[in-house]
Amino acid sequence: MALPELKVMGNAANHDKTAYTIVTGNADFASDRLAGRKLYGAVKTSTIMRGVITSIDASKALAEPGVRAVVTYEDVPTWSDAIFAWGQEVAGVVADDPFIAERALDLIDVEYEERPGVFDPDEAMASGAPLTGIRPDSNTRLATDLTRGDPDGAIAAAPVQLETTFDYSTTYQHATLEPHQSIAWWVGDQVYIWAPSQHVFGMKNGIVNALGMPANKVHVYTHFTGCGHGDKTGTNTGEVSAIMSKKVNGAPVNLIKTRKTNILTHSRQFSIKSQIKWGATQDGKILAVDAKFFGNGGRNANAPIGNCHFGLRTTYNIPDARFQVTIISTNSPLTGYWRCVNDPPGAVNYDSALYKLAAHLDMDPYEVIMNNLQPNDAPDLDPPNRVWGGIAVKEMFEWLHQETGYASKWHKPGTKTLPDGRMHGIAITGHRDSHGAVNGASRGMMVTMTPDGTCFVNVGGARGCEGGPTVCCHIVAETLGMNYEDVNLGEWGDTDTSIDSGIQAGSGFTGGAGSASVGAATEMREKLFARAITKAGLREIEGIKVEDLYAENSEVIYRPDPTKRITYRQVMAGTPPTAASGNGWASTLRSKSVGGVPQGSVCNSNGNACTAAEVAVDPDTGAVEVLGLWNAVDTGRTVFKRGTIKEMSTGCELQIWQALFAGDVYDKATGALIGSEYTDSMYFTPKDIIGENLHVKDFESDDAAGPFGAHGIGEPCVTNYSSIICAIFNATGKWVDLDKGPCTPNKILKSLGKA
Amino acid sequence: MSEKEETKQISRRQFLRNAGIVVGGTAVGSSFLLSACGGEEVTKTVTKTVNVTTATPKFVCPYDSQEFDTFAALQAHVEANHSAGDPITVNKFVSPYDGAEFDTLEQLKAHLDANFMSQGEPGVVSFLVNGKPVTVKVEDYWTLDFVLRDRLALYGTKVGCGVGQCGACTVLVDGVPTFACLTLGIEIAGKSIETIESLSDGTNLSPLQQKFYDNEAFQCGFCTSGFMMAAKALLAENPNPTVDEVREAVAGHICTCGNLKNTVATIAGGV
Ligand code: FES
Ligand code: FES
Repeated sequence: MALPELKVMGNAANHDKTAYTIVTGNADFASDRLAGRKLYGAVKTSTIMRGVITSIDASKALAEPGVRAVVTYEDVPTWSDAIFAWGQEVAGVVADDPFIAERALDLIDVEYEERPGVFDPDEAMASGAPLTGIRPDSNTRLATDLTRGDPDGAIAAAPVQLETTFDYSTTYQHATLEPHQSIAWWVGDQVYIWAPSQHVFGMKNGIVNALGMPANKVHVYTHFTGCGHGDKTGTNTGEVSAIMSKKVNGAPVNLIKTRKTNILTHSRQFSIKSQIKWGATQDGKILAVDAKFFGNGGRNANAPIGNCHFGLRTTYNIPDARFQVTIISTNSPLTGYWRCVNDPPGAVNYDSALYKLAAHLDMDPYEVIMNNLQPNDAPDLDPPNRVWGGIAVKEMFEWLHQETGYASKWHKPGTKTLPDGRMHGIAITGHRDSHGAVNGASRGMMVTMTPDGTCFVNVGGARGCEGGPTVCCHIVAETLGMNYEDVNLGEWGDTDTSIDSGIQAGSGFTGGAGSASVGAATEMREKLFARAITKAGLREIEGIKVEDLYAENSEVIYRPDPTKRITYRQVMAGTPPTAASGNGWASTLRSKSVGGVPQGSVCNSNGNACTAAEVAVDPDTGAVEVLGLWNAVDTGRTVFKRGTIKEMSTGCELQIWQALFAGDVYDKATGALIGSEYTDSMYFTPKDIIGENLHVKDFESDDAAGPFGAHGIGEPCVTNYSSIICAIFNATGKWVDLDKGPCTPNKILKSLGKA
Repeated sequence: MSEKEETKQISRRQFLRNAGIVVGGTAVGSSFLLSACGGEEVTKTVTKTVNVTTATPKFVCPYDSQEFDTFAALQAHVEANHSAGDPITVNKFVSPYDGAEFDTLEQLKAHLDANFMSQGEPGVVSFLVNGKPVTVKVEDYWTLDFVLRDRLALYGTKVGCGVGQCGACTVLVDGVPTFACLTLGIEIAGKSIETIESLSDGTNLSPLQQKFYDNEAFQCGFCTSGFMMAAKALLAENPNPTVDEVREAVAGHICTCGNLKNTVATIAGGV
């Protein structure tokens, strides 16, 4: 069925509202201010895995010329004398320049009393393991324990039973190009902070709480963030720079973390291993699953791992199932979100398990996937059994199947050799994503109409990679019936002049700030239409009512006779600027009924993604070439077309890195990070990209819950990791033990018995 | 580790050599890497090529066209080999920094003293930034990115890694793309620095900026200045580069958003 036509949303001609700023070098990231008028901060980190600080002697550092102050865990509320991982913040220096500050860190003597620590997650889970101290009485926590039907009985009764295991997935730091940095200064009892944040109001609230200050005295700003990927959601640098500034009588302090400190003190993607038992029929109908996941949360007691089963749970129609997720606390660095809350590590586990099942059944895994897909309009199998507002997973799988030429390319694992002697492999994976939800009930947005008939929007969120404020401008223009160029971006990411538009993580900004944009623009439209019928050009129409009007191309039009129209400029002539604000909404079936569930019911509303990878593997070297990567993403309705396509394409590049190159390297004995630079983590370069062999397509499922049918685009890249790993299996017929790292040539050779 | 895997790693890391920057020296580092769970031990030798700009401006003798690295050397040469007051019939004394021409050595010296040379005061450097002469007092350990950003408020140059591994800080030094984070402020006396702020005249986008705008060749934008400055240098030498030539030229840059395909395609084919 053809979707309703949209005028502004999805128009590929529309640019990011901050594009000029970026190409002229004028995009102001946190540190881009106060040249020559600021001091500089640096942070010292712990050099033990577990223990307690017994003393800190900063006298030598303070005696160093140019050093102005030292802060320690006693000054910073979110730091502690208890050490749970190598590389935890213990002290900081404020100095005249960043080089002095860095050098002075070495002059701070920190004494520790060491305690036994456990770095390895399997060791931490073993009985008798020392407590890591991160949780009070255990190193593990069962974060998810969900049973549907009788999985044990159903597996036991199934004609085919298979137990699959997958060892820990890759772990690595986010490595955002812009390091964590911030500038803070005080004027009297007011503190002003610039910091890169994916949720500027969240950072403000965190600082208010940490410093015990009234909210009206804390001012936090973020315009641009140099990548976030989920790592720029806390308060840390903002809070620390504020405390550093306080120590030097409120002078501006620019805290800039070095690459190494950045990697040590901020979160990395957790790694997950799994044990998954299947019960199935011989022709590939999955009858039951018992899926256990184990995630290494590092020193993060609340690592967000518990939902890593989401795609397996929701994508497939499995009548009897158990899903358990155990989070393991280890004396290793923080873990957290990386581009997706759960899915890259979760998906590589359950997709690989599905591929193992297909191989066991001697079937094409695509056939197994399609045999077991949940229908788009079926409710979730688990309470509260909600339907989805919009899902295009089946269509995306089918598109990938066709675009890749899968039918003629797929073969049994390890059975096809290319003319050049390399092994050929192809795989398709995908799932319903836990990202991109429409849930904006606590989100706000403001729009102001100016006398010249244009408007500007104030968005309480930063410009993240995908251009969140630009998304809001699209939705405002669509709602008001304005030309896109007549909607300007006012202030954004400013806790003084905007209202909280939500966190730019989980790809929920479209649903959150986007639905708030509809609310604000709808209120504005009502005001403008009420004014329009009093203006020359429309007021002469006898009996004209607001309901008779619609707007298009920045004109207000009389529906019964569209020749009667006036511009927004005429509507606004002689009137002062007019403001409106709106709140978002929670996910309900607003625009239609789905699967027989009435309109108005609460529903699920998420983004979804599917990917195909085609690879060639050199049997002599283990080298992998990605011959093609196809990425399909369910946008609901595409809002900012350029941003969407970029987000998909760039996510694919990152996932090639995750699959083949990325990895943190530690000394297990001490917990020390050995590789802290881009070269150490084999960061991908322009020479590693696959260029024209990368294909992306957005799918519109018209989410009944979203603004104009849109939902967040999820993390479009999240299934690429598993499709590449599964394609390598299809090539070699062997599974590679990732061993918490990338799928390196050496590991592939090992799997082939050659290394 | 197999021989072949090691070769692959080295070749991936050769990007520094390919960064479009004049090669000045080579450093070899060796690191012993332990995997996170102790399963695999690998010894990796990584060859890193340190990039040092060698495009020093030359002082040319107008009598015999000999070139000298410093004004003092030129002055010594002229005084030793050419009589004071010898007429200059063909060439002039030329300031290598801004091309200004003079009839006498003394006039050139006065011009240099006024605009470019440090006058005995330690740590004071004069250079051109985006065509404008500036004089800045610097500490001898300050890097060029710090001088540009924190003394001259030219924030368009970004710092991603600070150790020569990302390209975000790329500026042009005498036309050569250079990592500002690996360049000391005291090294740039008398040189001409171009930053992202030089690309636009303040009103109009340059053709390169326009193409980046048209293609939206950025996501967060943090790497964009570095890519654009490298692109400017590449296009000056090769106005119509292929995709592979671009990949080679910007191989020392990374984009942690992953926007490489779009960026490379934007530079390819020129403006
Ligand atoms: S900041 Fe200079 S190369 Fe990364
Ligand atoms: S656009 Fe974000 S780092 Fe390149």
